Amino acid sequence: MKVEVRLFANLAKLLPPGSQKKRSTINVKKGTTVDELLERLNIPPKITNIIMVNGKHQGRDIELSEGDVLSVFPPIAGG
Amino acid sequence: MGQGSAKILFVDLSSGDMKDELFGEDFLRKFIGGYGLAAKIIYDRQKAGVDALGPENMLGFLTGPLTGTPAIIGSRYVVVGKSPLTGTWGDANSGGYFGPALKFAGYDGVFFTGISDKPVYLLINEGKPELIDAAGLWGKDCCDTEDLLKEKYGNKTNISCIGPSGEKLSLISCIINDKGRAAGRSGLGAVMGSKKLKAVVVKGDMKVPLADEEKTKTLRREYMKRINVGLADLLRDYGTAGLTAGASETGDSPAKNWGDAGSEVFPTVEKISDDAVVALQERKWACWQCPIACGGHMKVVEGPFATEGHKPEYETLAVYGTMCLNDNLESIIKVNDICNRSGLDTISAGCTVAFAIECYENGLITKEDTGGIELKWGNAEAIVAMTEKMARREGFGDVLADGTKIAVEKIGKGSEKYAVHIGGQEVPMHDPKFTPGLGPTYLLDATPARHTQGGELIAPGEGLDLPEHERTVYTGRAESQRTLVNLMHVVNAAGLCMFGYLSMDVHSVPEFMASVTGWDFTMDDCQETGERIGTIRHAFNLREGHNPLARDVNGRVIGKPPLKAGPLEGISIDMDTMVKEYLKLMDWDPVTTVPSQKRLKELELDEVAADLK
Repeated sequence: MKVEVRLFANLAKLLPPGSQKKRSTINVKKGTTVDELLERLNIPPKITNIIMVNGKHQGRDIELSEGDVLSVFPPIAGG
Repeated sequence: MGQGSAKILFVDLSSGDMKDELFGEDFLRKFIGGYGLAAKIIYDRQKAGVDALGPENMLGFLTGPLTGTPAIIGSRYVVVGKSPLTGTWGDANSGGYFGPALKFAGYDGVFFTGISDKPVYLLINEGKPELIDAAGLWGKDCCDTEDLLKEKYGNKTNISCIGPSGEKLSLISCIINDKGRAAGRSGLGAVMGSKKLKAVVVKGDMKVPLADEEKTKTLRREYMKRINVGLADLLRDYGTAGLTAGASETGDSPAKNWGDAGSEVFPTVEKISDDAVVALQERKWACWQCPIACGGHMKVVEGPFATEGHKPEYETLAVYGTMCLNDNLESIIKVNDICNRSGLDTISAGCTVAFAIECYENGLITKEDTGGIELKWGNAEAIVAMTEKMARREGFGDVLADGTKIAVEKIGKGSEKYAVHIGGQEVPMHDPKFTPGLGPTYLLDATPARHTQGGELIAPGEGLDLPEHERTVYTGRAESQRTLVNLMHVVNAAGLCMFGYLSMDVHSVPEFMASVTGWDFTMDDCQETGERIGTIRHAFNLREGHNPLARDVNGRVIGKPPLKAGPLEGISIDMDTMVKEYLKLMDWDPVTTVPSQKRLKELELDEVAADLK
């Protein structure tokens, strides 16, 4: 199934080549969790990224569905 | 000036008298420097209840022991004084080159009392201070002021100054160095303006002694390879401008004057974030010896907002962008330059514009009031024009030039519901509904509504094992809050930049402190000294009769009522529980917030204990 992944700011360079404007459509198996997809994209779990699915805050262990938009943000704190 | 002591200049602007004082190791071990040292000195020498814009208010410019040293990142100084905006302790922190330059000119800090009868500036040239007539500078903006002073004293001169906003006593005015690094908050520009002090001008090549030069240099070499966690990458690539879009989507950033949040209300936020901002950046800009270089020099070549100047920070992009539903990046670069030149705090100015927009959109003010400026959401021209008026205190700009609390008093008509401040200071672009630890920080720090004062939002890059807290669980957070707040006080008092702290291992802080000062300084010392510094700042307020629990907090900040949609839908934070648990842990009275006698004595703040008995 297809899900859209949006990586923000400096995380965008982790998207697969050919990605447009910080978003990428990725094929995943049914039942893939957020955590599994992030691992596949080599997004280091050490970075406490903020995860949203379809505009709502979610945990890393939720399962993705067809057409979901997964957004991953770098840690916060700015001046 | 040796590392065993701090050399501070005391200037009486009324009489013109100046004298040096040395503060020794015992004193410095307890209060470190920066606002720690300043709070103790001011607590001892200034009585309660002074007029913040009067002669008795002490205005200080302080470095820390790590400012101007190889410590990473030793670039900061603070300005301190009783705040005319909040009536409380005030301080503001800035980077650039001025802090190290003050040290190279021969002083660790300067205090000003009194009021000069004519505008003056203080020149410190190779250790020699002199008050000089500022007639030719009064009325000039912060960029022209710097240019004129460099013309006179040479390019190696460094300047910290006010612009017309500080001169005109705007309560949201600030103090600017390097043409756009701001000691932004607490309205200290007005304190400087009230003293008719235009600038502090420093020049010199004096060496800052290090207790263990070899060790300090080795530490720098090692840590230079380790500025690679937390925010490091984002800051290097974009500066804080890299945060704007993410913050808007996640709800970290408030939108539409705190009335909304998320991507639905502001779908075009990408236009004022990360790559879009860097596209207009001509070159990077670094503070003194900083390896991250999060700053930038911007150029907008043509159009109504053509300008050149410092890159706007996240706060500025979020407040003049997301808060105003304005996606015109060039207008934000322009307004940032207006604020830098005039010496206006962008956070408070932008919040006040957003407030005015909401008043206008709801008919509380009209085109007649605004002199024809149509203050509507997203109207970039109007936003810039109104900020210009605020900078000049012209027309309706005069109503807004002192921030939202005063604007409410002048506008009336129930406008207080649109004024989002805590204790008189506008709330920054980080929502406690997204980062609950901000609630107690905004409410309880001696300076209200400051996101940079530690707590959940400001945690070190690595090296600290703190438990994870779920966003909607408000109990059990007090220990983390205390640990982080105490650490931040040390970072601030030492003269370190928060962004180094956010990008490195926390152990760098006590390690640099130890190698530079020669003291035995550990993570435990960070906790105790940090707590002492936080407590003396708080004690200043208590003596003024100020109880932080009495500060007004607009319900929008805490979700009362909660938002009905978006990333923060349904969230109301439990401020009471977080505050109660923190006060209990700190051993401060749950109603008066007065620290216990026991704790004050443990912290060796006996004089405070006697005053608060």
